[in-house]
Amino acid sequence: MCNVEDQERNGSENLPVSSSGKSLTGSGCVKCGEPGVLVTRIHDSFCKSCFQVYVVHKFRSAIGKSKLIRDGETVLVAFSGGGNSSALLHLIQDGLSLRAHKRLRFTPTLLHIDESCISGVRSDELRQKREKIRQIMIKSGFPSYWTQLEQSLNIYPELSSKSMSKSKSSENPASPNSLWLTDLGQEPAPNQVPDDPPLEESRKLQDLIKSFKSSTAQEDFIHNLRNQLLVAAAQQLGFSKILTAESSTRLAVHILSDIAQGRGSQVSLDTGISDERNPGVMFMRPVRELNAKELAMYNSLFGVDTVFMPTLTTKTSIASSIERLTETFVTGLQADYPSTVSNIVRTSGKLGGPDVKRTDKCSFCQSPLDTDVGKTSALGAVLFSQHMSRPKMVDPKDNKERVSDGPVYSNGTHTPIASMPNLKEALCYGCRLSLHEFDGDTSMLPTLITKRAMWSIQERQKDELSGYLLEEDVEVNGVG
Amino acid sequence: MPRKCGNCTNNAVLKRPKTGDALCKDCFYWAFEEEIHQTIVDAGLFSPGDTVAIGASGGKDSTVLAHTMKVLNDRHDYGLKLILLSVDEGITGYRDDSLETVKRNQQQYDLPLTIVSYEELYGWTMDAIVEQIGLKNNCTFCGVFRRQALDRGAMKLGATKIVTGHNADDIAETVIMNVLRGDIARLRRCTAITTGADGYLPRCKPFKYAYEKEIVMYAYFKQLDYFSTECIYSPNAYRGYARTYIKDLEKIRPSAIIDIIHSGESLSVKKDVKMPQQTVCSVCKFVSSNEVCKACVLLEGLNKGRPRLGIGKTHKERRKWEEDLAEEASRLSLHNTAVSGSSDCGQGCARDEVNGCGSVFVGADEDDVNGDGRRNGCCGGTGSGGCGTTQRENRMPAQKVITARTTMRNLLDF
Ligand SMILES: [Zn+2]
Ligand SMILES: [Zn+2]
Ligand SMILES: [Zn+2]
Ligand SMILES: [Zn+2]
Repeated sequence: MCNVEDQERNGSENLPVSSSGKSLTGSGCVKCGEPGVLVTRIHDSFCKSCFQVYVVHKFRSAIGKSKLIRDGETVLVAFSGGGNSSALLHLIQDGLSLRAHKRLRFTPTLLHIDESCISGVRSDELRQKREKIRQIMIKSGFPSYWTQLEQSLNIYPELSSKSMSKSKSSENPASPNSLWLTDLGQEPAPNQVPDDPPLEESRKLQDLIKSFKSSTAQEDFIHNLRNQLLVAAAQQLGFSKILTAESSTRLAVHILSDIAQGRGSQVSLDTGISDERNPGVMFMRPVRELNAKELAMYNSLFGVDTVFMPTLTTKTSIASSIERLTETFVTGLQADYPSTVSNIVRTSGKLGGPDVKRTDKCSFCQSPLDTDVGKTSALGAVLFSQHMSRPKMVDPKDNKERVSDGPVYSNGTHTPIASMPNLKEALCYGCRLSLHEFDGDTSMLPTLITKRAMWSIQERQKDELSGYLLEEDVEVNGVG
Repeated sequence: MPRKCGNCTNNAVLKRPKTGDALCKDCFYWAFEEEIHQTIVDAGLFSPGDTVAIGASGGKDSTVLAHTMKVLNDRHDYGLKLILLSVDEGITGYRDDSLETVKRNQQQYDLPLTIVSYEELYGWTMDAIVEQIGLKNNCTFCGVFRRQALDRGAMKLGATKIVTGHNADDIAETVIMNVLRGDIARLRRCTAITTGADGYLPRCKPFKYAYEKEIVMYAYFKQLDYFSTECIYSPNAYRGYARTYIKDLEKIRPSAIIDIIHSGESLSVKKDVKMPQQTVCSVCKFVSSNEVCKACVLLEGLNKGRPRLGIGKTHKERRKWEEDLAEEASRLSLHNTAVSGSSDCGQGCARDEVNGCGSVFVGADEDDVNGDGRRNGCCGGTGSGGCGTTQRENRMPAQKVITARTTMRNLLDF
């Protein structure tokens, strides 16, 4: 996409925009014939107002088609401050404004997760960025909350729906969490820079992340941790829907890196319009039909403020992680073959997801488990190869000794430590891959993983023992 | 300091890319062969008494496949009759050596060899096709024709199964290609270990879970005789991207190849997604997802001097031809009832629709049917026999030259 330079325009609407890419002098807007300002996709040239119509249409149709948001519903919008989520915020603001053709019918609340600890630095630059994000959120006029990625270590998971239906009758039990979520309030009080996250908690999270040997595993881990924090925050704040702002470009990268990391069965959950794998909280992706360039162009045309926060692999070589490599691969292909991104996303649109109502879910990412595969399978082949190369069947790392005697009881307050082999049984293929590269102590892992893993293992043991246990309802977990 | 074999007391000579384990030569041979055996047994690829045509190009994959099949058939009493089957695409300056390689393999493994050529089957060598269409889409022709050629050869030999040397890398690459092309039908079936049921010859991939690197290592340490050079007609650039991506992924995380296959195996397609309907080619009467199968379209284009028919954006050409064809329909159908047909893989032609319009990917359509390792990608259907009036059926003398397409690999570049 590029701007069309046009010196002789006359409509005051059609202000020239800074040119990015080649110019297409003289192309008229395909919609109204007015001089075009930019070119989306491959051939279509749009004037500013028709481009807006196009973007708004893509956004509204994604929301409308899915019919997932009820009139008057309140939704949580994940706001990172980056280009995509800034565009989403602007689209929502615009859609709620009085001049909107058909006003949006939902009420947004913003949530920002401060992830600055990932970079490991605490600088004034970061603090300034943080303050800018806070200002944008407050200025939006929407209720806004602020939290830190460190809070993901404090998530106390809810029981799986299976055990919940047995032990509890109420559908929506109060979230057991009390995460640190700051209400930013409505007044843009100056000089109230959000604090750096508590040093000790940052250290703890940094150590945990560093215990994953590769950037690939680190990124995968952080991604799932962030999602789990969003879910827990939504639960605590009483929301059942979270809007996230992945562009089609972002999703195309995600689809391929999912596939490259054994998460094929999760592609549709990870990249579809909605994701219902987390009980009670649904993710929605309302800008998934717009690509990165279109969103960037939207921001530039409408003066949308964005704040760029560095990520784990921002300044690293392209081969530093699977995600980074995939990003380079997709953007490179997209430059040569402009239908690359839409092709990839269209593929994922045709993929079905696993049944999210299933109870055998990954203890981390909450995807239905994909590890119950037949003998003729990639997983089976790898296990057999290991068997052939390690005659004693001892995986030096994994097969220490299996903790299989009796359920380990816990009383809710402290975290039971699952051993690594047991833990992996409760994880999906992709999370196992990441955990395989974890060389820290299991006690470092977030409670949400170990706790859920314990429950899932206990469930399985209970199932195996059913018929032999005399007491009807063995108390296996301490959450009341 | 030499690293010890994880399995015995010898020094290790290699580190397995798949698991990271160090093994000595003998333990590696054993593990490699028994893993293929395990795949064959678990997937129930063969039954005693099967006649198995081994797609042999002289390249590393098919050479190691022929060797391994022979070893396992003897070791585990499969009770299979093994035959080498080669396709001669008709590429001058490239086929002679590979043909010689397969002929030597024939002697080394004491297996009968049959060669079928494009020229006899279609009346066109690849050289002649390239002369017509240039170097841009030749792989499409080669791929579509090769699939059919192998089937026809195998049928003629009375084979009950075809095995090809597709390895894990090839399959991972095909998964990525199909995602990039938005080809959901192929994506769904490209990780199947056996394709082409429904009355056609089943095609099996015993190397589905074998890493290309291990195949090269095996060939290298066993000093197997294989032909290794690139096809002189350079392969499709787009596939090259996918290939490079897979190689780069493998460098970052060696398990990525098998992880992609796991992904492919666990993908499911939405119930309401329309799959191309398998129908019968109106020209050759073989399975096709279009009115006319891809092989027939390509061949018709060549014969009528419209070689771009069926390639890329030439929907117009195609429509025009289909109109012409409709006029001749009655005559053709009369003529064809007695002719056993042949077809593309059953979805080739439909790609244009599946893929939206005129995308660059169409040119890459069938080229996963390329040479050794690229051969036949993951197409679902198989077909065999002649193709009506447009193809020269019943003329398959098996004495022609043969070619291979392998990739030059630096053996030390692990
Ligand atoms: Zn316009
Ligand atoms: Zn998982
Ligand atoms: Zn050994
Ligand atoms: Zn046909």
